[in-house]
Amino acid sequence: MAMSHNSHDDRVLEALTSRSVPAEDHLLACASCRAERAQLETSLSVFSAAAREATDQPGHFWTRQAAQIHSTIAAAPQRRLTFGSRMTSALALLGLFAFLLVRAAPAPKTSVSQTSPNSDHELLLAVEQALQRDTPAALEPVTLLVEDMTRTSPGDTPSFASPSFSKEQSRHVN
Amino acid sequence: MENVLSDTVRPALSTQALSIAEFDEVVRTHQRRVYRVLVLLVRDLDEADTLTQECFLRAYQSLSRFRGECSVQTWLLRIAINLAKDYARNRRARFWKQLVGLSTDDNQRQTLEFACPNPTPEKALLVRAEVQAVWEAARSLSQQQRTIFALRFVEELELNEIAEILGLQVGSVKTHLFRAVHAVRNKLKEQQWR
Repeated sequence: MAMSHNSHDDRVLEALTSRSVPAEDHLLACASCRAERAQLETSLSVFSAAAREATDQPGHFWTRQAAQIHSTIAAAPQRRLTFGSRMTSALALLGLFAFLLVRAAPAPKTSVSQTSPNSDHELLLAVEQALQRDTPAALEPVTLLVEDMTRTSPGDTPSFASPSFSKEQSRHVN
Repeated sequence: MENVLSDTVRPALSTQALSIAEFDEVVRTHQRRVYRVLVLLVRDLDEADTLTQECFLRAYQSLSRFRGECSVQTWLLRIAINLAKDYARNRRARFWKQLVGLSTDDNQRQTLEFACPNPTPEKALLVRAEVQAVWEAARSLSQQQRTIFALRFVEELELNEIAEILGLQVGSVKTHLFRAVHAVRNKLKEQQWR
């Protein structure tokens, strides 16, 4: 079966790049492909030799380069850390982060359901006391004053030390 | 012949306890190959020198990350190729800066010149043309294809080694190499017809 020109080319390239078995088999049977591969191999080996020669440098170049690498490494800060020191610093950072996170978090709000039952009870007692009183809470100071006045003897003149208590008021009381 | 790191140095590398003096031995063993690959990738001798130094500095600084799963050579070439990629990116940025007048790079750097290994003048001319054709073809390739081409045909690395360096499947390496060689062959044919 006749192969196309492209197939021959592909076989040559395949043989050259990956040395595949079918390509090698084809080259065994095809003289023109063998010749082409040989020609390409020659070109590539010439290029390789030229590239090696072009990049080859005299001995002092390599010595100077190695010395520069040495001095750069010696001057560079030591960044090589052991596994232990890495772990320690990682844990320390993690701890610091957790601490900051806890500090920065807002204080939890106490919900109604979380209030203590005692405060409810106290509130209830206060309401009961207020109801049992005869006087409203707003008039309580006046009530206390009247109680105080009645506690003293009827003949005694109550001493009204308070400056807010006017003379007219004191006359009226007397 | 350059060898992969000797067995006496390799365990020391994997235990991350390598002194600078011991690392000097690694540098001496691999600096030629690293430099050569970088020259082929960046096409600038001065830049390749700088990048070679940078490559070894980075390697030393990241010794603790080297687990010995690949050879030191593979590891170093991987660093070198990444540096070359960064360099290409920066060069593109420099090009645009130059274009809009932000940079005044004088472009007087020492670029790669192929000397002819053959002494006969006639043959020298032919060989030079042939090398130039391959080089031009290589220049027209993508960064990835050029890297693979250089590693295969200049450094003579095996396909699996190239795949390991570049973090690719062997099949992908084969495909890139196939296209690269195809381009090179076309260029050589063009040159023959002239």
